[in-house]
Amino acid sequence: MTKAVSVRGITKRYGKFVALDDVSLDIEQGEFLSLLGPSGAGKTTILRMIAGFDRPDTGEIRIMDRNIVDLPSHKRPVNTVFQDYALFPHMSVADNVAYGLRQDRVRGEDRRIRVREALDMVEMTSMAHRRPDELSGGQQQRVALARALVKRPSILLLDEPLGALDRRLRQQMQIELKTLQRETGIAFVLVTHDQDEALAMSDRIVVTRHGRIEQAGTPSDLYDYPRTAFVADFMGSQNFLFGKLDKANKALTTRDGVTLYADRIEDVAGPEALAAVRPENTIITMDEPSPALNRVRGRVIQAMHMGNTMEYVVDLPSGAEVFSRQSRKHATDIPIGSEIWLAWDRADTAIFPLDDEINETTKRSHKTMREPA
Amino acid sequence: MSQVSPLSRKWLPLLPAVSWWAFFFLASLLAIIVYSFGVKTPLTALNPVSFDDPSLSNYREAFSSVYIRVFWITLKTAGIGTIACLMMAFPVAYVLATRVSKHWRSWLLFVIIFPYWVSFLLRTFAWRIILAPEGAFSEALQGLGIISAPLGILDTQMAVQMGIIYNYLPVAILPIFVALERIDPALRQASADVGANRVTTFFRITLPLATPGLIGAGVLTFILAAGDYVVPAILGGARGLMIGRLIALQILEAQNLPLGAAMAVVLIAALLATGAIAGLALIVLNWLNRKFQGASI
Repeated sequence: MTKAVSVRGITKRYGKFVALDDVSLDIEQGEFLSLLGPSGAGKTTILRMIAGFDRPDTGEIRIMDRNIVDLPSHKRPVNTVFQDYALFPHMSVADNVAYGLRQDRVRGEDRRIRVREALDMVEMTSMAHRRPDELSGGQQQRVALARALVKRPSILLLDEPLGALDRRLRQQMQIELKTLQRETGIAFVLVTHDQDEALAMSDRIVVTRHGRIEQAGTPSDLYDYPRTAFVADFMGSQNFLFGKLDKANKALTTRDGVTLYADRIEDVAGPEALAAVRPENTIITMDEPSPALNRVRGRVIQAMHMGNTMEYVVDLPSGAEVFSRQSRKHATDIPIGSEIWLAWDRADTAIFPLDDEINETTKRSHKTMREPA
Repeated sequence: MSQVSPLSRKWLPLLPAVSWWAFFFLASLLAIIVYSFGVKTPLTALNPVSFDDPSLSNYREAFSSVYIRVFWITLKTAGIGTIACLMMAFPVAYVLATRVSKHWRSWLLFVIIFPYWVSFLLRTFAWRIILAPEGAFSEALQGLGIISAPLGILDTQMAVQMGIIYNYLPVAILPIFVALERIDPALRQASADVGANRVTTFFRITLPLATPGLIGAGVLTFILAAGDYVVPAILGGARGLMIGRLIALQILEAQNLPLGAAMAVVLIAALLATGAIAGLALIVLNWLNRKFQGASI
């Protein structure tokens, strides 16, 4: 099948800063794809190049099998929902939506019908005569969607569209966006730095980092089988323990002298590596766990109530810290200061190459405690 | 015990400006209106203006054909000056607001208002040197074969027009720049994104959003230009007349305060009328535009 978008080897430099470094990427028709990464990773640059607001230094962008690098943005079959919506402040909601149709010389009754359809789709028909500044953030967001979708593009680009909304509204809009995408069959390309948003909505996620693609795959792929410590860390919370690698046995010996076994070992070059386990995959027990499990001794130094779970910080003898999330349904709360065992399954353990930006989990790297915003 | 109500406390900070303004603007405006109904007394009289027999005679004189002609020249000079200023200012403001980096922007704005650091009089006198028939500029033009006789602009209405445009160009640039700078660049991108080319984006997005700035610049330039008396006095000679110059002559030299006051009142009325007509035209244009575009829903 023809790709909705095919990005081939694009590179973009701003002075010495390399925004994109030889990026290639395919977007299937009708797919919901997220570009996920920290700020400055190049995800927005990719989006702006597809829209035509930026031009790659080298490389090719094909939309429905046609190279569009030299096509100005107003001639591309692509529409964008902008980060701060960029609604025309001097036009009513209906005029904002009709603006794109006027450019296509859609007139009279045809235009009115399509404007109404687009506004119906986002449930904004009753606000058709309002000005953008009379709308709430969520309503502006809907108008921005209607303005883009009324053009019936083959690809809709969304640049952090939910960033300005509060949490509850954001979750509601996530569901609505996903529904809208299924109903219209338009390929959605979403730029976000919020992994939960990407996980919730996407068919496929592309994780970008330093202008390159770090890993691409389905949400389950990325969550369950991250290939690097960076992706593992970005996709939800993650504990990392530094140690010496025994490749043959898929084992890693920590600074405490404890040997951890992993079912999965990623492509590690050096003699040292990081063993990773998610907080929700660890269990805390008072009794010695089975030797078949990975297990470490430690002391609970912090306990945080998260509603239906408790989050514990466990201090290991080496000074490393492990975060552990326990369901409150079956376990009693554990007092701070308790000497405990932490155990987890080998299947939930992965070994990654060392990474400049990822350290062993300690007090200083509380970012692994990052909760869904 | 003194009690200051919350309301008066809220408006208290305005007091210095309002009292200053009331005294120097409203009071003097009122004085001008009162004087315009007075009568000039003989030079020997104690008071230069008599209010014993208030009359409209000053207005009759202000509306005599000679003065009407000067009023017309004034509005025309100010009007042409305003249009020329706006047309030249817009591209400058546009480039400044959209194409120049923030760092260079402040420097270029500084350069634009730099002439204002030199006295208005001095700058206007400098134009006498530039426009002089036997000046270097005139000779250069003759040398290049662009003109055959010495430059004959000085002391004509043309020189006044040029001086007006020169003096008020920066006044026109700044409000337009501010309006353009406040337009989110994403709006132009959004316009292109839904299929509008550069020309459409300019006329449908950029220009309408810059209109408040354009109106501000136009009103400011027009009012300042219409009331100017320094430029016609220095560059206009005997042939380049504007009403501001005549008012100054009546009040300062002919000692005819009532006639000068009446002419000032007529000028104010003429400016207000021009503003009202321009505003009305804008509303009609807007309405026609909407009518032409057709309903969206």
